[in-house]
Amino acid sequence: MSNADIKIEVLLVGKYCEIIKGILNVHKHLSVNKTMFFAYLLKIKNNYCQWPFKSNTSKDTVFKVISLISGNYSDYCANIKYIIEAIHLLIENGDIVIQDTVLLRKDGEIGAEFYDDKLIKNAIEESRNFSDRQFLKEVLSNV
Amino acid sequence: MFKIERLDMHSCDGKVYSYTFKEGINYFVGKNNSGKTEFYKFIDYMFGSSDKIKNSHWYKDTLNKAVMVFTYNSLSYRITRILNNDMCYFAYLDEEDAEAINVDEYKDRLQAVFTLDIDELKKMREITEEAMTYRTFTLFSFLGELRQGNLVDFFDKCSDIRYSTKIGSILNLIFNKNVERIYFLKNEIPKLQKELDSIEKRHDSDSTIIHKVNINLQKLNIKEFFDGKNGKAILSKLKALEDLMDVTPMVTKNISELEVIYSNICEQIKVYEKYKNDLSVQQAENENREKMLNTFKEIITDNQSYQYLVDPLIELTEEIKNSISFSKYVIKDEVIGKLKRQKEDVRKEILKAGFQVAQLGYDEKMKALAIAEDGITSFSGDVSSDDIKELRDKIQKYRDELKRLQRLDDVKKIEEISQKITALYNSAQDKADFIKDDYRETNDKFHINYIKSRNALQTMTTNEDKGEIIYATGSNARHTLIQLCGYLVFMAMLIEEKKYPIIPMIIIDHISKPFDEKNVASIGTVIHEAYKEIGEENMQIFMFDDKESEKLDLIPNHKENLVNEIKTGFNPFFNAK
Repeated sequence: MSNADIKIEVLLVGKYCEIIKGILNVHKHLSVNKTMFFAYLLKIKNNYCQWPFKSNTSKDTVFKVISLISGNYSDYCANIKYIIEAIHLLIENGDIVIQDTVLLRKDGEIGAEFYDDKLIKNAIEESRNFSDRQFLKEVLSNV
Repeated sequence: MFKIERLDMHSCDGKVYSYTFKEGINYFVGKNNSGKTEFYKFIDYMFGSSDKIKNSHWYKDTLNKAVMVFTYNSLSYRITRILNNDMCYFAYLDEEDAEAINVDEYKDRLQAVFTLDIDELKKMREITEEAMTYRTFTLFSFLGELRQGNLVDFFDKCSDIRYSTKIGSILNLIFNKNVERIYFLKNEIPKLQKELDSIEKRHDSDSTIIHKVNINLQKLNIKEFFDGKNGKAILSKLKALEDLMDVTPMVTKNISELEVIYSNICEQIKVYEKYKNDLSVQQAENENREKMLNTFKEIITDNQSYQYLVDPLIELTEEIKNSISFSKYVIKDEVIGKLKRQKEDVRKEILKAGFQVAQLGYDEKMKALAIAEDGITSFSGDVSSDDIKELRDKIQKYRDELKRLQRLDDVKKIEEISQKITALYNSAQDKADFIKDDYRETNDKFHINYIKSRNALQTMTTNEDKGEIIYATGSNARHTLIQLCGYLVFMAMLIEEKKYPIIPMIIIDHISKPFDEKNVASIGTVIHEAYKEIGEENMQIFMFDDKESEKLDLIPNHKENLVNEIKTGFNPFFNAK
């Protein structure tokens, strides 16, 4: 692995640790599968000036955010490695715990990381209506 | 394969009553006022009809909710509607009910179930310019009592404005053999029009651009003149000049950030469009799954310690074949549309950032630089008036072709439908005198024609002098039997073509009403004859009638009396006495 690769890995894993902590600080618990997706989405937020949807949109938010990574799927797959690493690190470090396939934050908040994005907040809450299997199905068939 | 397995009725005080059904014909017999028509409507209600049945005296204060289990293409679903608050549930049979959803979401889920081919559905929408849903197609499934014997606009639901406005488009779609070409033309014409607009604009502005650029080049002390061909050379000079000026634009994002955003968005749009053109939805999904699995496997190979995280994900990805997607393709297309607009906005933002520098006290040269650069980049110089004419002609040619194709019906298919309906009607000749009469009086020249423009079934005969002429017939029984044949043949055709979002079932309410004892057996004969082609596993029929099935010469796969010792009609918790 080249020096540059290692630098990229460190930066990305760090960024994802921050994002995942933010997600769990806001939502308390979320499955690994969904965390992966939303972490990636929060990371690419800067690719846009703003989301192409109004932030107070509340209908079909899951489908809308999934469609945001249409055309970005390869990049998403490439990022999964770093997200898994970040989750593993946070578990090893004792910041979060995993029960079955769900990630939980321990009592109280982990650090001061939060995120502020209404669209994604709505989407994460709506995604709780989807089983993990269904959610992954939607991702695979809609990107 | 389609089968409604069960309907569970839950009363307000917690009791449950189950109706179970079989493949093929399900026959419900009941006297007057036993809820036959209510049952008929209730099936429509379970599949998402917006009828307000909660206030009907049949259900008020007695029925709380109903749960239906059905299987379609090897997947089983459980759907629930709660009468009082319009809430619904949708789940696979092997899963628990998730959160409640509203009726619109409920219909979206059912739409996903009955959509056999999402690419076809997209095409239908493009061609008809209407949202075609499984709800629209239920008009092929319900044969009610009110419009029995009506042979013009012969589907029962055609009396409802929500369906009558769409029937024309549906028929155009079903009976058009040039669907592929129309789809192509409909997509191509706007693209060409856009191209034409843009090259016309470019053509008009080219001469003004040359003038504008040259004035600004002078301001910048550049000696060369822009003639439309030396754009590259001049641009590089301008770039060198720009690099000399250390600029920090006063916008929320700086130019380099905006440029990153711009290229990201361009890339995303490009990949999406390439994917969309190259692959069908199913293929794309399979490739995506494959890619995801490989990613997971690579992660484990690199580092075994992640196995506890990745293994469940691999399992999940492999399981996914047994699900369907509920999303609407419209959303995805909309996102890309919005991204394209955002791309334009970012481009403008980048330009604006350049101007701001000049306005913020940098010398006039900076402004001139931006104008000159913009002029050269937007200069095309490659458009001649011949190109414009050629493109205009092409668009006109496409438009004419589209008009012609849209009007062109598949005559052969309409003839086939007519023949099938005639044959089905004829199959009951031994069971009804009026059929024999039809053939005797016309010297066996009797036939039924399907007339698409009026969506009508017309009885005809052939005369040696005048050719094909209308053969006027009376009798409501005859017309009702012809109508039934029409329903059966249409449903058989829709099932066979496997591209329309239909619910493969026919619900028939009190069909024996216009028939007398001597000819009522013709009903059973045509239904069994139709099943020979369709197959019992492919379509379910629900019949509600006051006569015993034997009289209709019908051998149902399941038969039940709506009135028995524990209940007085369809709603088991309602007491009619």
